[in-house]
Amino acid sequence: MDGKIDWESADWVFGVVTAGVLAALAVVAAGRFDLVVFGAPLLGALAGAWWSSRPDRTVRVSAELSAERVFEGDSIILRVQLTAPPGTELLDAELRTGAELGAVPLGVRHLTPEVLRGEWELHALRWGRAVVRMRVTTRGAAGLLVGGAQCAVTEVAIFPNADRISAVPRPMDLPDLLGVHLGRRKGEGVEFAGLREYQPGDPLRAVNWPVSARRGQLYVTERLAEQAAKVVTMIDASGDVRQTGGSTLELSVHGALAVVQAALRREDRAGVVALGGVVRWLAPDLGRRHFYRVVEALLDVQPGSGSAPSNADGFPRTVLPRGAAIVVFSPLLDERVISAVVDLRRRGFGLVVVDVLRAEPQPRPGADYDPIAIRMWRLGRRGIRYRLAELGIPVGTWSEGAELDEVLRPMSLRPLMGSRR
Amino acid sequence: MTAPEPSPGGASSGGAASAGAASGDVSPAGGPLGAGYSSVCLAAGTVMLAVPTAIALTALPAPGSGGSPGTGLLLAVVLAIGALAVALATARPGSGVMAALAVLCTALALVLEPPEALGDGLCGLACLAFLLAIRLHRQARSGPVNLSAWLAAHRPLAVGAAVTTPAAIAAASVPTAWSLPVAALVGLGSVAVCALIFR
Repeated sequence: MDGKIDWESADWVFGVVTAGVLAALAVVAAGRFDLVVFGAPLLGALAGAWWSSRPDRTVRVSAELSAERVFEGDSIILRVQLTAPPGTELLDAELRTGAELGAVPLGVRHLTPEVLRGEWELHALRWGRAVVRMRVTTRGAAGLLVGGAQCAVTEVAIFPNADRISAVPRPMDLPDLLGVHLGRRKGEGVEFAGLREYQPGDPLRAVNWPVSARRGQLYVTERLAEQAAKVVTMIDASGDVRQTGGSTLELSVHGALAVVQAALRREDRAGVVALGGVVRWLAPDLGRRHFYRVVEALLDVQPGSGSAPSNADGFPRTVLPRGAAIVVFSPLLDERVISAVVDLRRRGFGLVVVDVLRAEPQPRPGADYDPIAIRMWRLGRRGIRYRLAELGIPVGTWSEGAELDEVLRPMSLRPLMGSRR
Repeated sequence: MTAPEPSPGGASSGGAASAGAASGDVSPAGGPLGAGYSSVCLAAGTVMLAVPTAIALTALPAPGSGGSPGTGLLLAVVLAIGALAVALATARPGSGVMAALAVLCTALALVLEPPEALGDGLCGLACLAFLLAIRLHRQARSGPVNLSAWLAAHRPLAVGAAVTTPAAIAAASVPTAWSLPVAALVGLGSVAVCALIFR
């Protein structure tokens, strides 16, 4: 990777040239031409440096990372070597990592005036794709020119940590997929469902011999099929409210990942939809590789309201399969998202909503109407929750200090009611 | 999959870590005066101050001759300050203030006791050599310096000085009416010589 240096005159050049001109005028005015001779070498050197060839503009950057993909809380080592053009001097190198990474310099040294080698310890603070940049300051033309360059050093993918949860909502109507959930459909399983008379074609191992002996004709045992559920987590990224314990988007991403991880652990199909500046989605699937696909997809989630839908037509059809349980992580601030959730429920999806908003508007000191406005705001939020509850959408609040498992457990006790279509 | 919670404490969050601050940890070997090119700096500084000192010693009025003793005292003070500035600039080459003060003291000494044009030119060249030596010393303290590459990078400065100094000396040595043509001729000659040498 290379960076382009923008050369400009050093700060002191203007002052020195001005002082030189003033001194020359004073010398001439005083008739002391001998002092011009004293200043001649310095002026000649200054002119020679100024009119010499301009230094090259390319600063070369070679970087080495101990790991390019890390989880939040991990630390990695970054080694960087900067090479300035020949004849120039590297003065300073400032590492810029953004909010996702924290950097601690371990050691920085000049191999030569043009070459600088440094080592930093980077701490992954927040999930996302962190672009590590470096601001380089150089000096050329014997100090007459000072240059600055902005170089992209490397990119680190920081995966969000997922809380280990066990409570994941599941739908009442399970699709015909082999899994661990007992649905209403009868099939090959171990759980007793009932008895019925033997039909031609029934396997003999299904015959319940004690019952058949008592009743005088063949009866078979029916068992409940073990099916897999489809769980889709939906992230409302139409806004990102900063609050203690993590912003709404951070909580949503962490929560969605925890749900996906828990669903995949119990062999369910899990998918994700992020609605924000750019729609990101992954259709429900299973397996460890799918988990990492979900993680990669979540890295690109950015807050923004550009793609927030106002009804169910705004969602890709493959992302929301029939009978899927949908877990929505939302601050419930965008009316379009709320309308879309309501529309999904009316179309027969089983939904739960996790409210990730912990912050409240604060009244301004001395403003009489602010407390009333805040009370009205609270009433409005209660109204939204009531409206959703009326439609059969349970809403849990992920308050500060609470585990996501505690929030989801009451909503996972019973399968989510959807409507058959 | 679950990693411990991130602990931002101790890390410089917000992501800006300057290498410039850390590079201050690089300690020069052998103390402030024993590293790099301190001897070159001291030598160049000595030559720079030697010209006005020599002139002062030769031009000072003898006791009882009726000259101005105040000028001599002032010159001695200026040269002493200049010597101190040379030493301090050599000890701390990172700060350019002391180097500038040393050059200023030299110029002041020349104002107080003006030498011949040749002396002025030599003194100016010594000043340039001193400033370049300080620069080399500073770079050498922050890391190893390839001397030949360094000299090649600073060749334009030497060429510029080599062109202007003889021209100025020649112009100052001839009558005023001839100074400009003589300066131009000598300058052109210097350019030709430099072109031959550095071709």
